[in-house]
Amino acid sequence: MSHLPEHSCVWRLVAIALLASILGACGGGGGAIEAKPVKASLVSTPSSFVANQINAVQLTVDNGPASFTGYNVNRLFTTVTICNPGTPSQCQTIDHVLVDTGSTGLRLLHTALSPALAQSLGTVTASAGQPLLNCVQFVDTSHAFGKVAMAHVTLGPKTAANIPIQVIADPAYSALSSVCASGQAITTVDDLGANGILGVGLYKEDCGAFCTTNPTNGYYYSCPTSGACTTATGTRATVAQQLANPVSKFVADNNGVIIDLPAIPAGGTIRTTGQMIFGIDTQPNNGSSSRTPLATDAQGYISTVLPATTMNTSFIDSGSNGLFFGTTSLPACGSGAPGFYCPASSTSFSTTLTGTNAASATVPVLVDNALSLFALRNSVSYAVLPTLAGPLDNTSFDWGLPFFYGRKVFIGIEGATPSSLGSGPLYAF
Amino acid sequence: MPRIPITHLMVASVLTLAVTASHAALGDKPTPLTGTVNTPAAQATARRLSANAPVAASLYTIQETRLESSTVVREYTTPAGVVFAITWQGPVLPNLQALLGNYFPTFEQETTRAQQAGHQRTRVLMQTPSLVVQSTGRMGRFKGHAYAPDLVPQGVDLQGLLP
Repeated sequence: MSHLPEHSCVWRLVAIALLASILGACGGGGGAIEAKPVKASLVSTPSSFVANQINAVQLTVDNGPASFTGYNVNRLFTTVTICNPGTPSQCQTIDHVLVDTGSTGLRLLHTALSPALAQSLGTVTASAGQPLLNCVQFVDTSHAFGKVAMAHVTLGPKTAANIPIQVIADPAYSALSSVCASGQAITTVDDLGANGILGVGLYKEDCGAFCTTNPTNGYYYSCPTSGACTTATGTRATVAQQLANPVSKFVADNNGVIIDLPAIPAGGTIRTTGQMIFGIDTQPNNGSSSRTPLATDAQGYISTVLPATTMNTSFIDSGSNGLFFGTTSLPACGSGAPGFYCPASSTSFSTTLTGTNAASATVPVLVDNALSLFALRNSVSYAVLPTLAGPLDNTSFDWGLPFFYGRKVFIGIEGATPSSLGSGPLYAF
Repeated sequence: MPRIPITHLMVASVLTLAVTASHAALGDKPTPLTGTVNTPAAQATARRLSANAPVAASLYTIQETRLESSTVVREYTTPAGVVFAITWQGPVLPNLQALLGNYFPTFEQETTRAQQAGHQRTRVLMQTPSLVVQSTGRMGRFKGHAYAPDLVPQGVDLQGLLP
């Protein structure tokens, strides 16, 4: 683990889009906000992972890949094995792939793959024999761009055979990434804070029908001529060509996932482990009885009511590293920890989440001072901070990883075999 | 996810014309930007900002453009033809470099600084004296706005104007 000395006041870029990240804070910070220290807890949390199940993989929240030089907080990782469908014995196991219930499909950094495997994975042909290229934009115009490749994807005991994945920043196509967005291209572990992104969200593909009919869809590109790929233009992609949710491609236990993480004391901890169970109501270990399903709208939104504010475009997202919502009752941290809240003392809220099926659930929220939390990150290497929160506009509540601690969160996939919870897209917990 | 085409078009008449739209960058007069638009809204009319704070209709005009990606961009322009605010909503980000024009370097500078400070790429909430930007969402469902405070005509209520 090579990261900055704990006393360093150098902020490192770690953030990532669907995924957040944060950095070390240099504490104190000259602001008007006087933070009470958050009490550090040295209690170790028991893992919720159960070994030797037929449908579960271990999850970890820690600082990320060994080669990552920055800080990660509240980022959920797993290990993925990919194999070359053409030569099934040619495989690679990749640790610290971000588990993101807010996106769809497996995306791996080219730099995380062995050159031989990266070279030999089959590609999806778009036009003129050229590979299909995939783009992900983030709101600040940074982006991940690269070819679509075919791979066997193994998560613990389960394998999705021969599915489309993205290779981020394949150097053969990096020069074209500006077609994706105008800002910074994500190309390295330090850019991403992870070796890749495992999107196990509400859908079977990253785009769906929209990209099958509209060539200017923003997701898919190809090189219009054969030979060297010098320009890229938007292209249609069939559903079968699009990045697939690996879970939906399992032969069984394919209608959703359960993210199961232990409860974390408010002061946080260094690391924790849990599990992702595949399938809902398909095995003795993934029953949904007594859970309330919250159906989402077609875009994956539910509503959240904070006292006096209704946020209709809310979502549950393991790829966000805090709870993000707009409220005037919490002060922002300012330049010491931009994008986070710094209340003078622990602040609690009671919220109500409501699905499009009118079912609802009450969720308590506890927010601590982010500068104090980051001080723990720096002094005692806490990568797990359950009371981290930050501002967003007042129409959305982004329920990031802190929501998952101490819960079993069910994600039901759209168009999959219904569980007792009903048909996806849905959440339950 | 753009499972459903974004349906937040607020104008009644959207022409399906494959023409070059008049498209301006923030702070600029309208300049032609080819190849990014295929269904410009026919509307370039002024409208009142809100029922309880009526504003003279001549304070600004709105042009709404539906990009080929289905993303809808609105540009708010002064009578002198200067774009002072932009909004967008849809599955794909519009080209912010083109829309922000001379303000894009400020945007880049601030987002780079925010990233280095650990801010997420899932949210941009930028407030500088010369430029205010809010950009949220993710692939399939982006929304945001940008405006230049110095360019906003007197009497225009931005709170009522922006989504």
